[in-house]
Amino acid sequence: MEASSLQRVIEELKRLPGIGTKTAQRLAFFIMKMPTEQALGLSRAIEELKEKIRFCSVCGNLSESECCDICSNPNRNPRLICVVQEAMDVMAIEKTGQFRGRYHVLHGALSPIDAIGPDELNIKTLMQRIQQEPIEEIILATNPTIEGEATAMYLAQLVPSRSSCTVSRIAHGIPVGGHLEYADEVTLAKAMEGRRRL
Amino acid sequence: MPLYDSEAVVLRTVDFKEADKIVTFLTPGHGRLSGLARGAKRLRSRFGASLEVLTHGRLVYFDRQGKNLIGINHFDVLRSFQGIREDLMQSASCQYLAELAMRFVPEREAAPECFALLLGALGQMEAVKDPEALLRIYEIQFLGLLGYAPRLDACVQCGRKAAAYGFSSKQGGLVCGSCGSALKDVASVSRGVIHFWRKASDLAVNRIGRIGLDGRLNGELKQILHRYLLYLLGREIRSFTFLERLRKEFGSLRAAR
Repeated sequence: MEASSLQRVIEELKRLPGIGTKTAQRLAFFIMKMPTEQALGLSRAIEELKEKIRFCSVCGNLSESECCDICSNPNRNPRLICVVQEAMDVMAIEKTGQFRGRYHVLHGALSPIDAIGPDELNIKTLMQRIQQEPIEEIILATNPTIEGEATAMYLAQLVPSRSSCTVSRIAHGIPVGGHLEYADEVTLAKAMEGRRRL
Repeated sequence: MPLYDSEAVVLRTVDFKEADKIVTFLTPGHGRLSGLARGAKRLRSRFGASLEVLTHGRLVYFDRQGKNLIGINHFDVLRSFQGIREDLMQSASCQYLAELAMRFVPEREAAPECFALLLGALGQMEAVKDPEALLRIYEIQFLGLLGYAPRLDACVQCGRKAAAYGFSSKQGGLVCGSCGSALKDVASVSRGVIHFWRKASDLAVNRIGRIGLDGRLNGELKQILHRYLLYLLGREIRSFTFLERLRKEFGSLRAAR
């Protein structure tokens, strides 16, 4: 019979997305065999994550304080807001080092079949921001899926009714380093549509 | 393992594990089929944008014995309905049609008429000004294909013709005044609605986008059809609620302008 503490770890790990019983058992045994320091380090990291991390009251990004590092940074352009679905998207865009504006995290996308409507997303605070902050452009960087497109279209209709700022959409097309012959028709058509003058 | 191929429309995708997706299709020969698309979320996946909801394509798959999910080998786009995706109301309307197919069409049972109806509706959606009439005709024809067409020529209980009728979801059709008085779920139904319902039932699929419907009649028909669909399904149709909300919100936005 398995020790109850081991069983507890297995049960807790099974709650994670994509982790079934077998994987949970494998991970639990791996943790059990880890040096004590490392295992405790993992448990402390999870504890700290839950205690310290919260959502920024301005943009909804992950933060350790009331206002996240990006919103409180005076060197970021307050006139430019990039709207993304998830906090992970902020990390992806930040890695490029190309965007110097601020963000707004929606925490999801409109999905009729999943009953995710505008009220379930962080849209109300975005509307407050466009009225209170000196925003000139909103860049809609939601995913190019049907849900992401629906969210972008919704905001593109809503924002002009509340403010005079420009609304733009990130470009879609062939990934850098990709080959045209392997691109699907939809992506290729989008790339042609979004071509730019050199 | 043999490979099969079939025409299909993507009804729904759900993220699975790190980079996979579970995709639900509507096919003419096997009804609803769900399958695993490995690596579909990756930027350079071989599926590209082909597995987006509402895409019509040719599905090549293998069926693993004893498994619920098919393995998706590839999906070649025949029509992406890009125009629909670029209009919020049309996109939400088509997702409602897809949800109806998701909820009602059984798994692994031939449904060629349901497939043709959905494809016909998607093909005509881009051209219609107001999708409401198309949605009502789709609902009427879809119910008929599933075997839920209501009796519209006489009272469903006593079989007598009457001057005025009510509609009972539980009885599945029109009821006369005396039969209806004993029932709890009877909604009033006008002659206009009965006439439109009959006309819409016989319409060819390639004409369903060409018929108009006035606002009052649409309101009445929408309510009756929605109640009937809810009764048959026994649960909320989420995309309908979403669509109604959008309609209200953007209706008031337009009015404010």
